[in-house]
Amino acid sequence: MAAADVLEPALAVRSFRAIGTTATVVVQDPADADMAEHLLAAELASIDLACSRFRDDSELQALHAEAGRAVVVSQVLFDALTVACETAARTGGAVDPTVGNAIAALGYDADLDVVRSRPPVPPQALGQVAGYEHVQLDARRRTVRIPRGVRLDLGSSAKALAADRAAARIAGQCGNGAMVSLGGDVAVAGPPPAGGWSIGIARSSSTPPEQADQVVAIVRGGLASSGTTARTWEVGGRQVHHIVDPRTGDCVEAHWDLVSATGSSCVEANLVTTAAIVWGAQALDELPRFGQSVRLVRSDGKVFHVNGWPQDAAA
Amino acid sequence: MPEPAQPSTPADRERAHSRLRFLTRGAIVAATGATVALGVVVAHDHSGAHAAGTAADATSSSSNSTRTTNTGSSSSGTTSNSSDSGTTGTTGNTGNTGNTGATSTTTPTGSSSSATVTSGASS
Repeated sequence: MAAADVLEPALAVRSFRAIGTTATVVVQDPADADMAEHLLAAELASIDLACSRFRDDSELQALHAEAGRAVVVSQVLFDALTVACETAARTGGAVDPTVGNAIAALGYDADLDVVRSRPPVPPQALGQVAGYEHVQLDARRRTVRIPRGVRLDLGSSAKALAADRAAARIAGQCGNGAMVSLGGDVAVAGPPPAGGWSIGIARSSSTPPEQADQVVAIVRGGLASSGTTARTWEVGGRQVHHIVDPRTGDCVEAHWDLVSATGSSCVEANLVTTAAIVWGAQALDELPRFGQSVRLVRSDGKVFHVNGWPQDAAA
Repeated sequence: MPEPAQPSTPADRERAHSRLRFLTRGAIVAATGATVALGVVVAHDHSGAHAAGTAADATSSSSNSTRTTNTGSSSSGTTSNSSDSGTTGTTGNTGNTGNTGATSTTTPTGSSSSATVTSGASS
């Protein structure tokens, strides 16, 4: 884990690698940094053990093995499944957790570093997408039943949920504001610093904040970004990315390079950004009804703003 | 110029005083009339301003600039209303900016502060 990097008199930043991405926590009192990092690491370990489709020992893999039967699951996995299915319902199925077989058929069945290190493979048949309606959740018994043969990918919604949970827990523990970023999906909780939490917007979350295309501030909720240019690999002689269109089982034809949005939580923000990638050009018609501020960068570089997202400084 | 003759008898002095009272009264009347006439002219020439002040006092004590704008001409009031509508439009930014839709309670603001994290495609 990296050493603390104090940027301002009252802001402390800790970053480390986890769940296949960079995890960052920012707190306003450097004295809280150790505790915040520990809480974030614990939250990510919990969500990874429950939801990873790359770990043989995860609860999700156990659920796959029990497909066709109702299975009692942990509260963490049940919450993640609930969020994933609600996301699917609210986006009309544009973001669907039952794309596990489809994304695996595209070659993304392990950590991305492993996928990228493999020798070239011939084109594979597209995977089937059952549809989130076939996932049966029983909140009273805390059971889940998925159809036989279906595999789930909780991907971005579980990561956003982890950011929300971690930020809330850290803010509650330290009694002050906290910001958590998981690969650029950001959640804030507690009292914000003066001027809000400043967040850089760039095509890749690995871009240093000082080199971001735009800097915006939020005071509550979350901010998420989804893109088609960073998490890519090659299969069958073509470049593919990690966002699957449930209608086709193939990766989405890229209309937007990057979509960023705010929301009342990171889950809410992520819901909109991932759906917009899937909707493509239709996103400009779909997004206004969500009432969330969105910035979209089209593949030709043109930037669009929806629902009050501030203009880029150079615009 | 010859020096005016001084009244020499009581009768002469009484006639002189009577004439002075007449002239004085006339001068007062003339001056008063001129004042009234001047007041009428002033009131006539500036009746718009006076009416504006009265109207504004009757309707609102909030702002002189608002009063002036509203009473200067009816089109100014319309412009003001149009400006309000334009503000709504600006919120939606349906024109030049391409920003569509309504703002939300979580709308971000532009920031000049140093960012501590970057949001972008996860790598």
